[in-house]
Amino acid sequence: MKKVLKVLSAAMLSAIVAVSATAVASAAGLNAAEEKVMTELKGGVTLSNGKTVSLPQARINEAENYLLNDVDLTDDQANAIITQIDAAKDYVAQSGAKSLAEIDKDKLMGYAQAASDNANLGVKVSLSGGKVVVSVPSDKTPGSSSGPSSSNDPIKTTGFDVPSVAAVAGVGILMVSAAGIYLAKASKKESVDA
Amino acid sequence: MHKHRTSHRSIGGKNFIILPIIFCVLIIGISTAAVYSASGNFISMAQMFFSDGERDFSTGYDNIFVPIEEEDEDEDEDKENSSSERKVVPMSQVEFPSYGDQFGELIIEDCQIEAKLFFNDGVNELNNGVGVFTGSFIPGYGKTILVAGHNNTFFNGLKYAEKGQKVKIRTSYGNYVYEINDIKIVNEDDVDACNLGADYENLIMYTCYPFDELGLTPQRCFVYAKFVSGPALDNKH
Repeated sequence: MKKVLKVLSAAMLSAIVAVSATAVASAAGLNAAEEKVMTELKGGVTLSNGKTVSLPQARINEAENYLLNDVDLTDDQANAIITQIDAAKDYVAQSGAKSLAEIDKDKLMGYAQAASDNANLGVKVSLSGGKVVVSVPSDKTPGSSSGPSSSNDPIKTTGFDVPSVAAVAGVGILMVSAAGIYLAKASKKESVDA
Repeated sequence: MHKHRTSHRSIGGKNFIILPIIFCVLIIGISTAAVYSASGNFISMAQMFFSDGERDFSTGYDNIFVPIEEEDEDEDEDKENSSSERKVVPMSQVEFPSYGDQFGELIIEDCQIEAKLFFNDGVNELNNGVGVFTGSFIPGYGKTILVAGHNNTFFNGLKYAEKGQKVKIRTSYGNYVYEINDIKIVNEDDVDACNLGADYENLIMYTCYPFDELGLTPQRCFVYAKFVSGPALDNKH
C-alpha cells in the first residue's frame, strides 16, 4: 500500500511539474487570426499616381514580434483590426495623394488607435516631436514600461555612450571650475598684497 | 584708499563668476567639436536633451536567459549539411523575450566579444550589452537578426572581425552558430545595409565606425554572418 502511495504521489508530482513547465511558456506562434492580420499589413496600397506603397519592413516585423510575444488574437479581434487596416487603405487610395507625405498623419493614427481600441489591445498611438510613438501596456511587456517606438530607425547611434561622455564632460567642467576659482583667488590675493 | 579696495573687489567678483563661465563654455565647445565630427550630430545631441518624447532612464532589466548545455559544434555543422535534420523547437515551448529582456549572450571568441544579448536596442540595453532590433527577429526564427552594440564597449572587438570567424549565440531554447561572411563600412543612413525582409536566417551585427572614436560617427561597420547551426523555431505551434 505504501509503495502504491509513493508511486501515486510521484506521478502527481510529475504531472504538476509538467503542467507548471507548460504554463511558463508564453509564446505560441502565430494563429490563423494573427496570420490574417499580418497578410493585411503586408499588402500595399496604390496612390493616385499609380505607385504602390507599403509599410516599412521593420514595422511589419515589429507587428509580427508583438503578435508572437504578447497577444493571442481571436477571430473577432483580428476582424476588428483588419476593418481598420482596410479603412486606412481606402482613405489613402481615395485621398488623391501622390506620396505618403501628403497624407494626413492624424487621420492614419486615428485608424491605428481605433484598431487597438476595437480589439481591446491597450496599445496607445501618439505623436511626439513629429514622430509616431507606439506604446504597449506595461503588463504585456514586463521588461520595460513601453514597447518599441515606431520612430525607431533600424540603424542606431552606437558610438555615443552617454555615461562615458557625461563623465568626461563632468571632470572637464570640474577642472575648469577649479582652475577658475584658483585664478580668482590668486588674483585677489595679489591685489590685496599690492 | 576706500576707492582702491572697491576696485579690487570688483576684479575678484569678475574672476569668480565670469572667468569660470568663459572657461566652461570654451572647454565644452572645444570638446564637443573634437568629439562630434559632423554638424548633424549637434542636432542629435540637442534632440537628446530637449526632445519632448518619453525617455526611459531605467537601468534595470529582466533576465530570462538560462544557459543550456552546449552541443558539440562539429556535430551541429554536420547536421546542418543535411538540413532535414535541423532540430525544431515549437514556439509554445519558448519564453519569448519582452522588450528590454536579456534573453541570451553573444560570443565571438576571435574578437574577444562576450556580451549579454537583449531584445531591443535602446540606451539601457546597449549600456548593458548588445541588442536585437525589434524590427528584426530572434535567433531560430529563420529571418534577419539585426544586433547593435556600442563601438567603445561591447562591440569594440568587431575591429578584429574577419571572414570565417564563428559567432555563437546562446539562448534558453537553443545554441546557435553563425559564420562571418562579409564586412562593410557604410554610412549611417544606408538603409540597404540590412535586409530586414530576408526569408532566410542571417545575423547582422553593427557598430559605429571608426571603432575607437568616442562620440557620434557618421559611419557604421556592418558584420554579416550566415547561419551554421541551431534549432529552428516553429511559429505554428
